[in-house]
Amino acid sequence: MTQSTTKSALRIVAVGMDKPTQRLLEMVFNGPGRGEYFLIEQLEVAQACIFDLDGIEAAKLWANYRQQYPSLPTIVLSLNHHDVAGTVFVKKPIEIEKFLKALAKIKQMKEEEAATGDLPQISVKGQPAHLAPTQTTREAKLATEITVEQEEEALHQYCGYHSDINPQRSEEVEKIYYDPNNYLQGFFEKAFAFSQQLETGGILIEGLYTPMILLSEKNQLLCGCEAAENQLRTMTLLPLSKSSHLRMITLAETEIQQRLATEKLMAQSLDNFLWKMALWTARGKIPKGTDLSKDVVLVNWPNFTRLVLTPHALEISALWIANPYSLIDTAKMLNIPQRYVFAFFSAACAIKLAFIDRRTDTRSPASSLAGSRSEHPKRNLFKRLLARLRGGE
Amino acid sequence: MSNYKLIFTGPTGAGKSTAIAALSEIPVVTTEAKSTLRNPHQEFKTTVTVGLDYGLLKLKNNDKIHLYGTPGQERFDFMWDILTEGGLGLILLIDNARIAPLEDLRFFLKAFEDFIKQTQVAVGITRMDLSSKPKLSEYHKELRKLGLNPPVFDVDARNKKDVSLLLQALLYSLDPNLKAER
Repeated sequence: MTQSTTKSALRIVAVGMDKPTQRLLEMVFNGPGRGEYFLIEQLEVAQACIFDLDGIEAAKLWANYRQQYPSLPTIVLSLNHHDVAGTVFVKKPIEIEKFLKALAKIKQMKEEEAATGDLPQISVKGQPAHLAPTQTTREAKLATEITVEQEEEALHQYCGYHSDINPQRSEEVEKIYYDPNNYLQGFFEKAFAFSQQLETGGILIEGLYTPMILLSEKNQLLCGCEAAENQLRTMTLLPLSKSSHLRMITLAETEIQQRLATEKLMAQSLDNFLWKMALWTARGKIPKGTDLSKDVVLVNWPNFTRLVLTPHALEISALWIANPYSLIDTAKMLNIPQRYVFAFFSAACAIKLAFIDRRTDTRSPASSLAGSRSEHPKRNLFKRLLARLRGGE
Repeated sequence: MSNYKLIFTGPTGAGKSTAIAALSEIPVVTTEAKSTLRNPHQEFKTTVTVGLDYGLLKLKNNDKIHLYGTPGQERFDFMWDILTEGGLGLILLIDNARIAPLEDLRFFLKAFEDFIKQTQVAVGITRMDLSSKPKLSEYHKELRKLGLNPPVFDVDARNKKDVSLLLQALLYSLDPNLKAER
């Protein structure tokens, strides 16, 4: 239990979860959960349960659990649509907002139970309680539909849902900013900048679910093999608290070699890591202080074969390499949602490939767009070739 | 029906034949012979392209995009001007595991200077898994010295998606206001 836990905090047990995931849960409980929940280890005294249905022996574990605790309020976590009657389902990768809603629902159930002495059932119309309510519909759903849904969900995780804003309306403009320093992204950007100053060795980051080592010279991030993407994505969305235990430690080359020899460390591209982290954190927003009226400078094309390709990223890159434009004008010129331009800009900023050219005078939108390139004589051919390449991938 | 061509170039062993094969919808026509050159970094490559590689992409309206790979060896460079005549753009592949990849880059940019001025170039760096240096940033630096800022991607020539992305970036470089036909 942590100091921030409130008196009426709900005692929650996690079943089928590894330690790093449990640690993440604790961070959510103490952070956005505002201490209204706390994690315990004994099922017998738990008031609610969070059950991971994707574990190796999850089905067996679930059967045992349900037999022993048939009415314990339960949140089921799963990658698939495991809508189990009498439970609250949260789909992985977990979105904080949805997870918090599920927690609130469980808490409400407990409060109602305390008031009436009964355990409220989650009603499932026309379905016996022991059957998964959406099983039939799930089976009927085409695999392609599910793929599209998953792709759309991934897209939202990277680019958010925001509608276009009117840059003349300050209340709308305020909503598109976020401060990377309030999130894990800011911490990693600092660590990255620090590691770039080192001639040898790297930076060890402690306090996460797994130790991570930044090797900027090699453009590598080393981390434990249990470093799952879902966990990291969840962490990027949590505002960093002042009491965060994150810390940076300088490692000499020999220490890195020693760790490589004794620990199971996996290497991944540091650029890709920072790019993805910025996309997850920004979710279609831009760093605080970005001037919407000034032009963006893209230093060079990002290495798109090894980075997450957001919608229209190739078009945006080509446009900015040819001529700098402001973020708002870019969306207008390409006739695409602003959030795609914002997402790409935030990611490119994180790996120092894009910045706002503060020297440029503010141009009127009309004059800015008037300077756009004329139509290429072979545009129709290029369009067909592009369609062919995309369709044939 | 119209015919167009795209040119793939780069030093011997950079992956031109493989990249064309990744995109082509017909088996690639390759004129190869046993190599008379020894390259300690490419022990596996026992043949070299002495003529050219040829592949084909057909579009919906039956337009054809002919994919040509230039002979990798400089002694065949007399063919390069002929090949590029009327070409849409250039894909330059550089093998990062060769002795001096940046020199290779400079050499091919110079050799195709006029063609690049008329069209655009996209650069694919192959075999970065075997040799991580020079880094992509060093290629960009070298290109900037020559007044160029083209797409430069880490490419596995066997991977269709990699080669396709490089070609898409070339198309967007040729026409930044481009949108795919739906």
